Amino acid sequence: MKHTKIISCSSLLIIASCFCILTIRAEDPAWSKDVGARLFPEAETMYCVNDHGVKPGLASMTAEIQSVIDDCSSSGGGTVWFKPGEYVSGALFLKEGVHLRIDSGVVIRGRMDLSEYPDIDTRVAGIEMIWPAALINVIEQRNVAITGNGVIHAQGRWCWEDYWTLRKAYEKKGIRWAADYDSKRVRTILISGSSDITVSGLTLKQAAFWTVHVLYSDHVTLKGLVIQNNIDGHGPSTDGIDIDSSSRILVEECDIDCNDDNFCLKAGRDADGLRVNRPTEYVVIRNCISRAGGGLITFGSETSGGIRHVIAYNLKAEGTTVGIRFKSAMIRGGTIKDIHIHDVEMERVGTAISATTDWNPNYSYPVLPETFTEIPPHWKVMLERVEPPEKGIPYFRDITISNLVIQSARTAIQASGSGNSLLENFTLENLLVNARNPGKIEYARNWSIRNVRINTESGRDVEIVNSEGVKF
Amino acid sequence: MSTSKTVFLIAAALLLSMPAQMKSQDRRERIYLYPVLQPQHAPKPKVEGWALSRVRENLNRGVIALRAGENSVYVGWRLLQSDPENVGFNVYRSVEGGTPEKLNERVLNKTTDFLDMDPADDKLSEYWVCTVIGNKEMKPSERVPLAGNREKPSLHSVIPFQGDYVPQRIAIADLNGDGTYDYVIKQPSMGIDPAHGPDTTGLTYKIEAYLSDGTFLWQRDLGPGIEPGIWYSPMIAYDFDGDGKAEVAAKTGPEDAREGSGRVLSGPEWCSVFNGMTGEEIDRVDWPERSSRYGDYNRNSRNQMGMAYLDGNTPALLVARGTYKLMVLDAYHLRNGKLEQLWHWDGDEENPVIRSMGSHGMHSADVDEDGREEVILGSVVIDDDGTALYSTGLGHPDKVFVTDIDPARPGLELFFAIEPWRDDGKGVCMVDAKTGRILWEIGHKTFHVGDGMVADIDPSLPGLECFATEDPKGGSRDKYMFSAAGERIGTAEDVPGCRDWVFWDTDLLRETFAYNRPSRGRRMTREEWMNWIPEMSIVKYKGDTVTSGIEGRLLIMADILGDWREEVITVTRGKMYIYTTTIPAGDRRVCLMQDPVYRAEVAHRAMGYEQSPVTGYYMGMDPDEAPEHNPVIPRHSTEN
Repeated sequence: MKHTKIISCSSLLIIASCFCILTIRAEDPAWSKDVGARLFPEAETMYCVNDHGVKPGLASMTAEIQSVIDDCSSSGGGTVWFKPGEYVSGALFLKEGVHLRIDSGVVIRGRMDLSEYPDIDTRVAGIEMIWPAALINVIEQRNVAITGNGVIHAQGRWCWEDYWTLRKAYEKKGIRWAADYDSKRVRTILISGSSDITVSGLTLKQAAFWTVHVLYSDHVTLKGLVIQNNIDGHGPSTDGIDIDSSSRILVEECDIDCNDDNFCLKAGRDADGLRVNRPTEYVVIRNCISRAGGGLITFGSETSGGIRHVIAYNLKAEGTTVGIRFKSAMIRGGTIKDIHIHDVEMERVGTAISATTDWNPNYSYPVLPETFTEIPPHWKVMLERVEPPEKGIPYFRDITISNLVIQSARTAIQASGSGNSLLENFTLENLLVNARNPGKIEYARNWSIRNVRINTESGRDVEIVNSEGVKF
Repeated sequence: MSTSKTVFLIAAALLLSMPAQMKSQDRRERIYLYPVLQPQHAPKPKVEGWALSRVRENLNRGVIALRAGENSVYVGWRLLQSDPENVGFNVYRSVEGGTPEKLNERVLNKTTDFLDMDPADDKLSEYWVCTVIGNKEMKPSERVPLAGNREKPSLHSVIPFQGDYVPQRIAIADLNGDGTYDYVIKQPSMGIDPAHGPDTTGLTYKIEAYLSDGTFLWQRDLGPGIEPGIWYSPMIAYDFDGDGKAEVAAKTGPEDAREGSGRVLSGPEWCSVFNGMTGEEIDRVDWPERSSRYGDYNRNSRNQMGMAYLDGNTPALLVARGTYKLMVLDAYHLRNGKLEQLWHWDGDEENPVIRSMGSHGMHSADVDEDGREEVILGSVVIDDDGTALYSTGLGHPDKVFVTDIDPARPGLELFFAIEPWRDDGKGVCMVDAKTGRILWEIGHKTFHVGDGMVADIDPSLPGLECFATEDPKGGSRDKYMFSAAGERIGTAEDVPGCRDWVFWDTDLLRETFAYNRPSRGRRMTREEWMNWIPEMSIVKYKGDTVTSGIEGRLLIMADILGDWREEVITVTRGKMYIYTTTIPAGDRRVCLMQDPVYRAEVAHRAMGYEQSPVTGYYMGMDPDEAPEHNPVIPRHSTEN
């Protein structure tokens, strides 16, 4: 059963019109028209996998499906499709000109061990390293599409168990920060180093780790995806969509229920991320819903390459932990700027707006206990010091949030920069917030706050500390 | 969402489950959880039975003739082990005692069934078959009257009981020696578990015998000496003395044994053997005696019976006591009306001691391929000579299956669903039946794996799929499914129910049951439960409904009649229903009851936990011959 994906905007308008002042938003910039895939695989040849030895059932069909994809691509492209049924597969690698169609009635299930997810060079949570391939991979390709109203069920729960076991052991050893990297888990879809890629219509279930990872890519469209990761439990790191050091990306009409950040923009972490230094930029996210999860729209915590030129509108959060979220750490560097978020509705959220430059220290600041002598290469990368330390300071500025209606939140706003990184030039306009607590702003400067009403149970105002030019 | 709330709920659930957990899993017994793959013990002599060749049931053709639809009659019969490879069959019909008509044109040699498309309406018809060997027609089978009705095409017959009770267990055996299986029931169905309080109503169990045609033979009250409950009252029916007529064996006790509390705590306990036709006691011996070595009353009150061909030729009666701690097993032959003890096995006489390995059932199979059958008591296997062959040390399995799970490797395998929690990843595993070596294991912590099953349910995978479910008592509701090769292939909703599986349609995939549930979403009251008449469908895993309209509570599935497909016996108050398939077969196979492992599984289903019988050979599909297209139809509820 699919959730309703399109948000009715009318309620927003009605509530917004109750405000005394209605500002007129500037026209969207020209770049906002040049996002998403410019090409779609047009070749008409049809390849039914069932005609090439692929059978439904519980047996893994990785090699058989891959060979159809390879044939299709090398013969000039076309559509690869399945007869109704449930199929099991390990990692598949899509190639130029291939349109993989997973129709209604088709379920692709992820194989539940690592043997058919080969290790590849990739970037995971901001660090370039060797990790297993995703279930569906588009790596260094152009003009590829994955469409249809079928289901990709990653069956990722076995990876969750693996992570929890490892994390428990690592916490005892004082290396909690390494758990996320050492517990190798399978992403559902990886688009890496590619251009003009479309993913649309699919329902993606129970990711083992991130669901859709768009890495070092440009001109990608993600449309009409329903992500349901909270099946048979709540797995760790089951982000919805991660746009990672990529540009010209369009995300629309997606509906995400997960157990970590829902819609997330990233750009590398710490010394390694600063070395790579690739921004995420020119991104449009619109007409989307987040349900359970860590953040309707999250910027970071991997910010090293910078995140900028982002427009997000017509969004809705239902029961999401945080609505709009900016997070980084003091060794991460990078700047989040030129962000425009408007027309957002939230219900039953934890914190409506959150910003922190010093997020989750146990995870963010790797320290190696002295007992370790031999360590794996990626630990060395993670432990590399950022020099000079100032390079590691992240900045959040030029952020506009307007036309926001928050039906219910625990906290309205929780925003803290730091002494050497003030939250600068934030614009809050036309906000109606019903929250239990007003929250706190610290280390901020020059905020433009217009027509913001925060109704709280206590009647208290937002606490403002160590800030200048921030006034409600 | 609130993580702390979730954590609290989990903690609360764990705390609440503690008492139940403690009761079933006694931590002190965990000290016995070590493997003994090469046990040291004094040698015992091999069993020398009275039979010179294997004593076999003298089965007839098991012919059935059922109205299959508007205008057809389904005729099915057994292929027997003794049939030569080139055997064929002719089908005959006689209407109202008239001249026999041969119904088939060509000799039938692909299947052992036939559809009579031109039946003689409602006239009295009889059907039989004749074997044909090399164009020569041999002697005819028994004749059977046309049975069934068009409204219920797979209902073969209904047998009324002597009262409106529901039986607890059934034994299938040929009591009168006519080659057709007869029925022995134990009733009523209600009973107590030794872990809980005693019965205070004075309830006693009755054993009743019925011929295949429903003729009531006898009833015997087990008396107050046997408390009502499955673990107090094991029974088994088999032809132990080889006279062609099965005996019935059961645990018995003296009349005056029950105390005011409802408990039987002292006094003699016996293993009695009754004449299957009259119910008269032929002989009795002492049951393995109570001992503080078993532990408390609950641990003492775990009794089982079984059957195995320990010398390869002579059926032996097995009597067992103890599951969770001390375990003992006695073996007897029945000769000239006397039970003769063959050996006594006591786990404390092994070196190191073998304890706490018992399951809730018993299995017999020649796992070491010496022509003599071993007894699989759980995680320990007792060799034919009454010494331990090995113990895996895994502890008390709620379920064990012995069959050829993985045809790609030689010999039989055991599949275990282990009740005690294990954090070494061995709580669900497959073991080489010959050596006890673990072939693959689940690889992560398990809590209280309470059920399991092996069956070929997916045509694309080689071997039998192995699945198991956690009992919520352990704090987990996980379900697991593995291929025969040990690959994890399913979790959660993909894992079907473990309980009831049947060979019903044409292929070698096994089918299961879907139930109507009168009270969706809530627990039935005791009264509702007692009066509930389930209506079941037979369904394929994630697939079609093959047959529907099977009424009553499932008692057993076994290849009792007709060709190799299994019959289903259900019960309602006062009645027993025998259902059989009328789907034309695609091939022919020797009657499953002639396979030693399968026959013992069916015999053992008269006691202990119920599990679906499996054969001693691989019974599943070859993936290369699997159907090309297998569309997915919405899932059926197979909860039970």
